[in-house]
Amino acid sequence: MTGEIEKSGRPVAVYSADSQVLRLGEVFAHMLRGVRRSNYLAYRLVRRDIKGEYSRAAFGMLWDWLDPLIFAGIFYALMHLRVINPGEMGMPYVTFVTFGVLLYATFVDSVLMPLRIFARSKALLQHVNVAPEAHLLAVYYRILFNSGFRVVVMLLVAAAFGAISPLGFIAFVLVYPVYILAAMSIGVLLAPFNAVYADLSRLAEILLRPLRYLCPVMWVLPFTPEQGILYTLNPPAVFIDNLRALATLGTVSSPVALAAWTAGALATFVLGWFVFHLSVPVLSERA
Amino acid sequence: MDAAISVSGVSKKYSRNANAHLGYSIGDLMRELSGRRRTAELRPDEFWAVKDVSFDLYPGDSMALVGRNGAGKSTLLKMMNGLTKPSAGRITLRGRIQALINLGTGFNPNLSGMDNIFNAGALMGMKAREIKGRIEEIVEFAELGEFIDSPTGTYSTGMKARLGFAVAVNLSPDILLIDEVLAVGDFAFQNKCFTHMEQLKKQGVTIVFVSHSHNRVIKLCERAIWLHGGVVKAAGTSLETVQAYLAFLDANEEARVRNAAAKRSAKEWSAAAKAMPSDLQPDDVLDTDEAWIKKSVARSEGGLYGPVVDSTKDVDDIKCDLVVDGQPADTVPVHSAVEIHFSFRLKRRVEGLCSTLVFFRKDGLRVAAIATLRDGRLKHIHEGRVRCVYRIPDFDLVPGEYVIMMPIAEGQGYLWRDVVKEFYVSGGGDVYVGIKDIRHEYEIRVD
Repeated sequence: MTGEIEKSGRPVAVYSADSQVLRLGEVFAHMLRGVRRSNYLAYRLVRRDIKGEYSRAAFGMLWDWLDPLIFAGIFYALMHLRVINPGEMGMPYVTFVTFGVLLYATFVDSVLMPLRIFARSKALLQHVNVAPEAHLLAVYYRILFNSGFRVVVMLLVAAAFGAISPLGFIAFVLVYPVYILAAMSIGVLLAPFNAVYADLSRLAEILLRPLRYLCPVMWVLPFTPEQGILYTLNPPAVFIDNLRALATLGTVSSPVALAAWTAGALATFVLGWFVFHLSVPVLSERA
Repeated sequence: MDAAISVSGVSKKYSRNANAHLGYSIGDLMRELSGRRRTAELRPDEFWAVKDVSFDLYPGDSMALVGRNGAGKSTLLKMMNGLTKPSAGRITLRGRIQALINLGTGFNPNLSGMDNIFNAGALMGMKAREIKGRIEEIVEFAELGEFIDSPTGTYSTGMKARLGFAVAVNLSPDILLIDEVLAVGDFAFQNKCFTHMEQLKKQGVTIVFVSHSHNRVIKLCERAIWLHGGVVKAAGTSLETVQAYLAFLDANEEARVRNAAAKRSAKEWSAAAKAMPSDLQPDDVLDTDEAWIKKSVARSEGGLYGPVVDSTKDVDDIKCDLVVDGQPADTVPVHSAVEIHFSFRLKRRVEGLCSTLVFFRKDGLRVAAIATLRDGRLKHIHEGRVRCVYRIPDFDLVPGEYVIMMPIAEGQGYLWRDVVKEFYVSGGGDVYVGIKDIRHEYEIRVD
C-alpha cells in the first residue's frame, strides 16, 4: 500500500487496493527503510510511555522488579524448607532461580507486548501514518529497557554468590537482544490475527502461566528421557537453560538445540515482521 | 507538470457492524497476504463509505471536502494519508505529506508541552536535530508561554490543538491534509492558522481541507467537492459547490420541518380525538397547535429557552402561526415579508397584560424579541380571546432552525410561558454569516 519511491528527489506515495505481497523486493526495501527512519520515533515513543508511566510513581521501576523477585524469593524459601527439590543445578539455587525467573519474565514480555501491539498503538495507527516498523521497534526498545534492569539484577546475584563467568556474562549480554527478538517472533506473527480476535492474547496469557513450570525456571529439566524430548521441543526452556549456563558457567548446555531454535525463531520473526508490515494498513481501522 | 495529488476511482467499504463480521477482517487480511485482490462487491452488512471518487490537485491548489457527517470526507482523507487501504482505485501523492487529522495524537498528558513537541515532531517524521532547530518557532507559534513546561493534561482542548498545529505547520510540507482540527482553537489562533495556511498556499503547498465552516472553505479553497453518502454530488469552485450543498441542506430541512408538522398534526389530532369525552363537540377539542404546545413543554423542560410556565388557570387555547404570502408556513425564506398571528384566551381580567415573542435559534441562542409592552396597547384587558398580528416586512434571520417562545405576563409575573412555534428559515443556497443578514448596498472607489 505505501508504495513510496524516490523520484527526482521528491517522495512519491502510492496507495491502492492491490496487494503488495508479490512485490517482495519492494516490500522488504520498505521494511528496512522503515527501521532506518523509525529509530528516533521509536525512542520517543518508548521514552514517552516510560516517563508517562512512572511520572506519578515514587518507586518507578522497582515495582517491575518486585514481582519476579518475590516469586524467586518464595521458591528459594521453599527449597530451603525442602518443600521442593530442584535437582542438581551446578550453581547456587538463588542464582539459578533468579536467572530463571527474570529470563522467563523477559520471554513473557517479548511474546505478549508485540501480540497486543495493535491495541497498544490504536490511537497512532488510526491517526498518524508512521512506518509499521516504528511500532515494532518501540516494543523492542521497551523490552530492552525492562531487560536492562533485569540484567543488572542477574549480574549482582551471580557475582554475589560467586557463580559468574566474566566472559560468559559479556557473551550473555550480547546474545540477550537476540533472545528478545527470537521470543518476539511468535507475538509479531500473531499480532495481526490478535487485532481481529483478541482471544489470542488471552489464550497466550493463560498458556504462558503453566509453561513456566515446564521450563527450567525453578527446577532443573529434564528429569526423564521423555521429558528430555519435551525439553528440546520447548524453545523457552532451551533459551533459558543455555543463557543461564552461558552467564554463570561460560558454556552452553545444548548448542545444537539453541542454534536451531535461534535460527527458527529469527526466521519466524522476519516472516512475522513481513506479515505485520502488510497488515497494518488493512487492520489499522479495526485496531 | 505531475499532479501533487491524484485520486483515481477510489472507493472504500466498511461493515456496519465490524464486530459481528470479524471474518471479513480475516478475509481481507488473508487476501492481502496471499496476493489476491479484495472483493469489489459488498458483502452482507457492508456499505460504501466512499465510492468512485476521482480528482487531481496540482502544487498550490487547495480543495475542500464538504458534506454532512458520515458523507465519507474523513475516510477519503485517511486513505489519502495512507492510514487505511482503499477497497478500489489508486491514490498518488507527490511530496512531503503532513496530515492534521487529530492534533493531540501522540501526546502524553503527564508530559510537558515541550516533551510533547518532541513526540509530535517525531511522529511527523522529524529528527531530534530538526525539532531542536525549530523549537523556538514552534513555541512562539503555539503561544503557550510559560505553560510550555506544564503537563499537557492540564491544557484545554484549544491549547492542545495550538501545540499540535504549531508543530505540524512548521514542517514545510508539500501537501497538507486538514480534518476540521481548528474548530477547537480560539478565534485569534484560528485566524493565525488560516493566515499561515494562506502563506503555505502561496509557497505552492497543496491543501485538502475538510470543514463544516463554509466561510472558511470559501476563503481558503479555490475548489471543493461535495460528498454525500460517499459519492461526489458536486465538484467545482468552492463557492458553487458550497452553494449547491447549502441548497440541498435547505431543501432537506424544509422537507423535514414540513413532514414533522404534518406528522404532528395527524398524530395529535387523532390522539386528541381519542381522548375527547363523548359529550363534547368537535370544536371543543384542543386544536393541533395546543396539543403540540403541550408536547413542547417536555422539550423545553431542559431550560434551553428559559423557564416554562404551562398552567392554564388564567390563559389557554394559545395559537401561533407564521403567515407567508397569505398562507400559514413552517418555512420562511430569508428576507420575506412575514406575519405572525397569535391568539389566546384570557380567563379573567388582567391588569398590565404583556405578551412577547422571543425568537431563539434551535440551539438556545436568543436572537430577537418583540414585546407588546412598548406601547401598552394590551394593558387592562378583560377575559376573552386576545388576537394579535405582527407584520415583519423583511424577516432577516439567517437560514437555520428557530423557535418562538411566548411569555404572557401580568406585570412581572408569568401567566404562561412556552414554545409556540418551530420554524425554518431557508436561504436558497446562499452563504450567510452570523445570525442576521443585513440588507445593504456597497460601492467601491479606488483612488
